[in-house]
Amino acid sequence: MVKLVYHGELRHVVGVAEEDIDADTIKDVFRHISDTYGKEACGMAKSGLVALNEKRVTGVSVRIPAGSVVGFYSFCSGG
Amino acid sequence: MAHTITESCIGCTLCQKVCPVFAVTGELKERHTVNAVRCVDCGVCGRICAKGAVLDSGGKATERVARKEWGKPYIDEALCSACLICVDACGLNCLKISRPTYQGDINACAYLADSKACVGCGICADACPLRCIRVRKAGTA
Amino acid sequence: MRLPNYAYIDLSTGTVKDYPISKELFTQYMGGKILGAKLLYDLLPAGTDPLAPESIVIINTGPANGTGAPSSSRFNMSFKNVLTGGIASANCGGRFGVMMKKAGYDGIILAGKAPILSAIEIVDGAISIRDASAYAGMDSEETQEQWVRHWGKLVIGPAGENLVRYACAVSGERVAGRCGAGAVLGAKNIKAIAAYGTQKAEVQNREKFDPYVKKWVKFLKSHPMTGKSLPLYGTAGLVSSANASGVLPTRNFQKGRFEHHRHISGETFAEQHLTRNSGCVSCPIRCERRVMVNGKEVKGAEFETVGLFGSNIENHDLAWINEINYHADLLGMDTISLAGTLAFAMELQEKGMADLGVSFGDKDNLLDVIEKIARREGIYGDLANGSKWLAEKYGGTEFAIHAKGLELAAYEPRNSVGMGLGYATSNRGGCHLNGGYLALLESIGVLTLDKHTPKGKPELCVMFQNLMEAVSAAGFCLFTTHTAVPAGLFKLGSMHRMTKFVSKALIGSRFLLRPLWWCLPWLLPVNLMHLIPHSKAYGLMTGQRMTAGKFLQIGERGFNIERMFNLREGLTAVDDALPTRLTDVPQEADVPESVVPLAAMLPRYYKVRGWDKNGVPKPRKLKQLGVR
Repeated sequence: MVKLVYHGELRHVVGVAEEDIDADTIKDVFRHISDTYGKEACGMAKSGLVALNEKRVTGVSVRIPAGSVVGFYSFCSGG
Repeated sequence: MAHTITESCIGCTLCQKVCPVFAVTGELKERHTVNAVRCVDCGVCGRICAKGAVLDSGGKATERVARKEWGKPYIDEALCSACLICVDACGLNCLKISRPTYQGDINACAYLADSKACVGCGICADACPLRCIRVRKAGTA
Repeated sequence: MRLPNYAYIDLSTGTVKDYPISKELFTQYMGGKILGAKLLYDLLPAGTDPLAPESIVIINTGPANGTGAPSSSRFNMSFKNVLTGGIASANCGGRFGVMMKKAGYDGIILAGKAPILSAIEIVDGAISIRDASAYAGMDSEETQEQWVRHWGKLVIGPAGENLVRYACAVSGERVAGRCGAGAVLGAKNIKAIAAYGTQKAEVQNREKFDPYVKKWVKFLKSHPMTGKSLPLYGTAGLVSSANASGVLPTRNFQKGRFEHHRHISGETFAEQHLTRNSGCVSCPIRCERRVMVNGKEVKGAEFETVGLFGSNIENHDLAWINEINYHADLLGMDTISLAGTLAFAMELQEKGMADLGVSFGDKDNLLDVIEKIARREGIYGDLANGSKWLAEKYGGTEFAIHAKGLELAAYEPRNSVGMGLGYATSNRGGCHLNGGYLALLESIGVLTLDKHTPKGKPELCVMFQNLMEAVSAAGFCLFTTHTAVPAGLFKLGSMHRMTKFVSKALIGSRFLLRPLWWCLPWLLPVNLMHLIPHSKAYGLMTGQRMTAGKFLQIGERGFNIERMFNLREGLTAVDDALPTRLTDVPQEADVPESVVPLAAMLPRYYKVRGWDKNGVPKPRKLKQLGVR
């Protein structure tokens, strides 16, 4: 099982703060979001920052160890 | 150029009170003066003067206009970016930016918060870089 | 062409005279920090103590101020850096700059020292100095209340009066923060500068300028960063991505991730603490946070403050961070240097090297501590001198997190090495903005340039340093540069192959970026709305023929005149350095490349800049730029 934690605007769109799912890769996670919450939610998740156990993920085929936490954050800029 | 006040002035202080850039000074019952550097020729002092003592920048005497005939700013919400330029430009503190209506609401717009204090000077409209403010009388286009 | 109107104010004698700015100076140096640096270079003899009466302080605007262009209220202070001894510029989004311009002056040059605590008033084209001794000890809010609402004010708090080395100057609720901007005013006995007037900023080509502004505002509002993330989360929105990328400074830059980051994130901020967003006057981005502190709505904390008063001292109470941010502004201190110094002091305490009354994870006494720092009471007078000074007294140079003496911002550079290069080469010291802000490309943004490779970083660093120099000097907010990262990439996401391709291509572009600086004006004889929208706006407002290439070249000129100032003050290549914690100790033990390979990047950086191996601009480069 993998815990998904949603933040910011995406949390409002999916309607939950976190959930547990079965997923082997980041691609599986995106498929779950698309299937469960729709394309808009999936687009938002993909356009934000995805962190696996608090570390930024760089590819959709990254494998997710069991018991991991996948977090969805927004990009920001600043100074 | 600037407005000026003639010796017909009776020192009622009304023009001083309505000047949106604080360019008019004077004591009660004494002839008032306009700071020529500061005056922006908005004409509000001329509209309120009951004695015809105000001359516009061309030297022509102004005419009194009843306050209820003065225009107010109308802001096009679709164009406004809430940049605060008009709010800042208003010396009489009449304009504000709308507050969020729900958590995460980033849509905001300037609006006339204090219509009573507004003198319809048009400084806000002039300052707006997106040209989304028009000063007009209520009920007119 | 309208030339800027400057006044030279001798505070010792109380005299004011015009200081003409020639057409050549204006067209070559624009305004703001670039013209400020040039004037400082010409007027201030080398070796002058920044706090001595002989020192010079320049407060000036950019040509964009007051024109109605988006995000155009930024004004500048140029002075000798209290913390580094080199050049200083401090930038502020408050309304003082625009009001000073409305009052008839594009800039003022302060020399000498007023005999008593004084205020300068700039009203309807006239400048006067008056007694402000009754305001001694007042905080920045109370000081500003001494003038009516519609005046623009720039004031110092008790910290500036007491010459705290990182004291700041405050305009409204915004701050000219860094390098001791408040201390140099305090040293001149200037408590406040207030301005009012009604002069309009001149725009030479209104007919084309107005529709361009409309287009630009629309562009800003449609971009995911400037139109959505920044108004939604503010710069505090960076906490999450900084943590995930390992650049959130934690425990005095010992680590780059903080266990409790979610408590202090921009998302949490927006959900639990934000009353509304707001912005500087003229800005459609509106990234400012508004929060309640002690029952009053005030400006909330920016990312640097959240990171440095949060993870960097191991605190995760965001309400408290907003409270100390407010109090630091009242007292008039730069939150970056203040918090950075406190973190260093905490580590000294932990290692038994000094007892300065502060510890990691213990914030309870800090509101009291910063009051004492502002008043230089007892041992807290040491803390008022900054981390470089503390390290010289107590040791710990290897973990005193500053560059040239200016404390680093809230990006841990071992997982964003281009940022490290930027910190080390920034002319005013450890500044993330003067340093080029490569974190946007390497770590916290949608692009994913290899964050550890030194390849390409010198070239990109030079590019962004020059761009940001020009944007600031023109009077624009640096956040208007964030639209240079195309909106489409955000939609695709950071994991899309196109985004990865662009990231790789930027590293590959280094071979083109080096020769760029030798042929800029003719290579980029165009204006590029989606990359550098500022240059066209600049040309329309001033009537000068301006292109992206010329605009960047002015930025390059500014960076070089600042460098020349530093060299003349004795800052050399040796000072293009970082503490050894960041260059020698991997941030992550299992990632040996998580250090800043400064030694590998600097020689290339100097080459790209057209400097010799000692970091001195070569005669050929100075001739090309017309810098004397």
